[in-house]
Amino acid sequence: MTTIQAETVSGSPPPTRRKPRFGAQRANTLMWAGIFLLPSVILLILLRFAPMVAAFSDALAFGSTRGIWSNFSFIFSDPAFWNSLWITLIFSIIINPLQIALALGLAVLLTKHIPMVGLWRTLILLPVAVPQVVSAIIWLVLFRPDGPLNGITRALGLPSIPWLTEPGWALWSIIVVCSWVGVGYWMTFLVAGIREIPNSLYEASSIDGAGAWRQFWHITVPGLRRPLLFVLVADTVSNFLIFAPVRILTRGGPEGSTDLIMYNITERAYTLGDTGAASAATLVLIVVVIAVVAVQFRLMPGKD
Amino acid sequence: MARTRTSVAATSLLSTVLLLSSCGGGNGEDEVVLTWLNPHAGAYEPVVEAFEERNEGVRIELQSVPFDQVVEQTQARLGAGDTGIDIVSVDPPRLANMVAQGFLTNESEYLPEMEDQFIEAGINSVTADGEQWAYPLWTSNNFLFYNREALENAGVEIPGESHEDRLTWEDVLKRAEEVVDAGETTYGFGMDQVDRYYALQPMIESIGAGNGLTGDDNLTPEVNTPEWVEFGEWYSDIHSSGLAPRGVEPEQMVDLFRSGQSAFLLGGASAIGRMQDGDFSDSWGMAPHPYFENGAVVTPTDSWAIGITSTTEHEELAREFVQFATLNPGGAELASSVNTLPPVNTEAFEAYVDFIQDLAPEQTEGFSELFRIDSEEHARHRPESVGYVHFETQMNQAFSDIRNGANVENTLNQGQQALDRELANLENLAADN
Repeated sequence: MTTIQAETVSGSPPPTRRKPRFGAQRANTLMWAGIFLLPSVILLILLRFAPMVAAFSDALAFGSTRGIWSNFSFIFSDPAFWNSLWITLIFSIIINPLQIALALGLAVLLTKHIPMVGLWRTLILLPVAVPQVVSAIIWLVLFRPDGPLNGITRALGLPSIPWLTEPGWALWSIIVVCSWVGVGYWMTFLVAGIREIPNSLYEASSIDGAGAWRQFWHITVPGLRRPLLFVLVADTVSNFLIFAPVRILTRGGPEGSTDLIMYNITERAYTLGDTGAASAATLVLIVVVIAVVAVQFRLMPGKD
Repeated sequence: MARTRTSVAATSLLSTVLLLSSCGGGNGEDEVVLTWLNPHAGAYEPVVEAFEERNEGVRIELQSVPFDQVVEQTQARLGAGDTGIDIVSVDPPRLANMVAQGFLTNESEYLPEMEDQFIEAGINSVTADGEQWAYPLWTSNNFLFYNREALENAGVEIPGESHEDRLTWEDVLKRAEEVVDAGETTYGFGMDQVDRYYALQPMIESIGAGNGLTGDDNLTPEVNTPEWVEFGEWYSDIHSSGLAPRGVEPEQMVDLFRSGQSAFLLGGASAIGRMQDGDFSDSWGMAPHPYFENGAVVTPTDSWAIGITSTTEHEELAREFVQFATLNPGGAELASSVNTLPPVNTEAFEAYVDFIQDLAPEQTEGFSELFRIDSEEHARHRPESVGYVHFETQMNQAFSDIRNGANVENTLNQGQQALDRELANLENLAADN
């Protein structure tokens, strides 16, 4: 590789003494690259690779009389684990499109010339700055049967809503809490994306008589393809890993209706102390996440 | 250029080293720091300060986390061999599981000292496989607190304070309904440990059901018998009728009661301090733990103990402190001075009774005698089993679902099936080790 490059550059055989100098320079570059990369590589190994290997070795029951796959057969024969996968799937199917649609709608709205746009943007982004645990505790009070939200419904002459106490409502309540935090965060990426779209496209299209709706579908959405793909993938992954709101608001209940997989895994590992089954469930989660993200990449039209 | 690159690289290397080393901690001084993981924020400062004064160069760091998290953190950190925890608070029914995982040091050689200082129930609470693994700090009991003013305004008879005046649950609910019907309170009845097995076990056993675990090692669940279902239906009814509140967490129950929203509260002695603090003081009273008509009188017992972790690097010093906080009457008294729970140390218990009576002289007149009778005659320990953690987790969830309106029989059947699987798996895991 080195020789070919050298020959191409010079166009004739290089002087013999330049060869080792160039090799030394390249070795030097590689060494510096290595030194600069070292911190990241060390952190990657410590924080990503090592836990992954640990999860594998915990999940596979080496030396067990029950067989090496016993942790997997245990979780796959557990109705609670299947319920948790099912709930996570329903949660993902609802929350991801919902959050992205809301984030996109708000991003479009807040890049228009509306009064006090800075204030609105700050208000929408504010929940991101509140730690998840704190916001969950605030919502816990809001959702109480005799709490402020039911105070409003009663004032409107509506019946009290069993936000966290009825299986049909609890998952929706978790979706509300997660979206309250998530929508503002994902919106910022889309706002930045919209700013990148040349204004001339909008001007030209409006001269041609395109309305706001056509501009949105034919200029904004195609122009946002890359930030949208990022938001879609990152949002999906982060929603697979939701834990704090479930822990604080419902503990997976009522009747397992909010038992998202991350909570199920944590409960196995840290309440029941079954790290083997928890690691097996973690590996299942990783496979599911990779599969879903791969499908998302395939479904997103156009490639760079 | 080369110099700039060298210095940039050196800076980046240095920052990596700093970043990595900062994770390690260490203070480089001679001071010995003992870390105590506990669920009682603000409760242990007096006993810690007294110990530090006596032992120069020793500092006790209190890592206080909420009740539920202490169980999870103990599991996560001691399970991973963390040497950063020297002392850990132990919930007695979880002891067998912690011992099975090798989290605690064996303290059996100090049994004679324990027998000198502790009541028998206390020693039982730290015994697993016939040996002692921790030092008991407190014992416990539940009482029926009532809102005196609301009962009087509704024309409802005030319950008596002695064990002879003990009410039945049927009677309590009737009175509670009368107070609510009179518009005095929103709810009739609340529990400071709602949905938690600790508070439910005495009721379940009083109705005639077993404690839920049977077999040689208490590894066979039995939670869907007709008696369990009968209790489940009772528990479901009091919540579906609105007599007891849904959606209110255990942590909020005492406040619900002291803000005048509930006629009765089933709660522990630690609530006394909170009730006397503020406008509500002296407008409440306390009566013995109720029982079901035709059923036995059953009361809860046991409370937190303190253990020394097997991973500690300062075992002797940690033991010295733990013994000071439990075996030493002065230390034990200090350890109970904030959280008003009764110490198992007999001398400290006397001082504790005086303290409680100073706090609420009128209401606690019969407290000492009632406590003695309940502990000696009616108290039932929670089942000792390595599967207790699984059992309690499933039961707390089941009763939380029942409170929210889930079908009782289905919920208890599902709980039974889940426990069958989990406890069998636990035996398999134990066979592998």
